[in-house]
This record gives sequence, C-alpha cells and structure tokens, in this order.
Amino acid sequence: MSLQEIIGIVFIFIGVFFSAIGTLGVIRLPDVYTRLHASGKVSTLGLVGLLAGTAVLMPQTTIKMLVLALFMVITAPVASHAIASAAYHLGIKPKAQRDDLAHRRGTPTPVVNGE
Amino acid sequence: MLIYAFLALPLAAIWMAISNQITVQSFTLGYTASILTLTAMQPRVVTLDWRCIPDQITALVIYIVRLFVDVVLSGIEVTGRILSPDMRLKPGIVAIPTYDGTANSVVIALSANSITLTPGELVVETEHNNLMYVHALDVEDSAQNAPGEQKARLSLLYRIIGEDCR
Repeated sequence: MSLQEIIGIVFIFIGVFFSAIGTLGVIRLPDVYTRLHASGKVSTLGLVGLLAGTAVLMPQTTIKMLVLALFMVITAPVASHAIASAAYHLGIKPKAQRDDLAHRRGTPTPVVNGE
Repeated sequence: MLIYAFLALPLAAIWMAISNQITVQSFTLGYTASILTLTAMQPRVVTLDWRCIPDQITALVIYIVRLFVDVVLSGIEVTGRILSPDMRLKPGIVAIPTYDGTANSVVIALSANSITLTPGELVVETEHNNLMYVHALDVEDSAQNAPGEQKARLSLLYRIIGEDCR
C-alpha cells in the first residue's frame, strides 16, 4: 500500500468514526436541542472527513471535494437552526438550567420582512 | 456592471471544477450563467467597489479557514461529551448580543452560521433588537465567552461586506 492510500484510508476511518458518533449522540443526548448538536456538528465533521479521504484517494476530484465540503459546512448550521427554531416555536421545552427565550416559546414563528 | 464581469470569473472557475471539464465550452457556460445569476440577484447588501475587493477576498478566505477549524474543534468537543459517561451537560439558552449597529442581514446570517459551528453552541432565534438566542451545552461557559468571540468575529464580517470601505 502506498502512503497516499494509507492517508486516504485514515481520513475515511476518521469520517466513519465521527458519523457513527453523531448517530450515537442523537440516541444518547436528552432533548431535541442537544441532539441537534450531535447531528449538526459531529456528522458534518464526519462528512468532511469522508470528503477529505476521497480527495486523497482520487486526486483528480480534489477541487470538487473542496467545494462540496465548503457547501456542507456553510449549509449544515442552517438546517440545525431551522429545526431548533421550529421546535421552539412549537413549544417543545428544552431541558435547560437557564432559558432567556422562555417568553417566546409556543408563539407562532415570526414572519420577518427580509431586506 | 463591469464588476459583475469580474466577480463571475471565480464562479466560472468553481463551475469548471465541479463539472470536472476544463474546456472553453465549460468556461463559457459557467461564465454566462454566473453573469445572469449575479444580474438577477443584485447583491446590494455587500459593497461592490474595486478598491475593496482584495481586502474582502482576504477576509473571506480567513473566515472560511476559521469555519473549517471550528468544524473540527466543535466536532471533537461534542464527541468528547457524547463519549463521557455523564456527558457533562449544563444545557440552556442564553441571549448574546450581535454588537451589530448596522443590522445588516448578511452580518447577522454569517454570525449565526459561525456561532452554530463554535463548540457547543447553536442559534435558536434571532431578534430585531440585535440579540441572538443561543442554545449551549454548557451555559455558564458560553455566557462568559460568546460575547467576546462575537466582538472579534464582527470586525472580520465587516471586512467581508466592505463596511469600512464604503
């Protein structure tokens, strides 16, 4: 096995590890909001690892993988935020020690006039 | 108009990279589509000025590198919590000021995006009074550190949209 293959396989293992941990986190963590931390962040890192591994194993796809990773990293938080916001406006109570947003829980999602 | 012709160049390059065809046809297609998209979008919230573009691009590259570093750090941090027996959880929602006097929608969106990628924090809601409501895995920690981090982030974001340049 060449060095390139070893590095690529290590990256892919890292990606698989974090994807699995992300799934484990969704099961272990106590409520919607904490679960989003696991699915949003850890799984994104897992995906980035898989893309990096692919880029090393198939060098002709490097730029494509870089662009894909960038799109993933920019859009993943949007999905987490949308789910968290929707859950909050539905009135799902977080297991929280402190909640500065309590006055808005269960109110309809605000319609914002964007620029 | 002329500035769109310049901004379409990197977009055409990205198109060539994604389609994996570095040919004249692929460039022409990407370039035409980019100019049409830019004309349709009219990105007004970002300053478009020849003098500002080098600094804006530098700031954007720094921002993207930091984004990737944040993804790795926060992934490892949350993994540590998931794998520890009691998960060391002190969850809660804290209000964090954006410190953004101009209330620029690009700045708010990018702030919320990068806060969601910092370790253990997730934006639940933003409000018109320049507050972001952040769900944190460790409330006290976040309430202490996040406002400072946001202040530091803001100057970089102002450089990206070219606020100082205007």
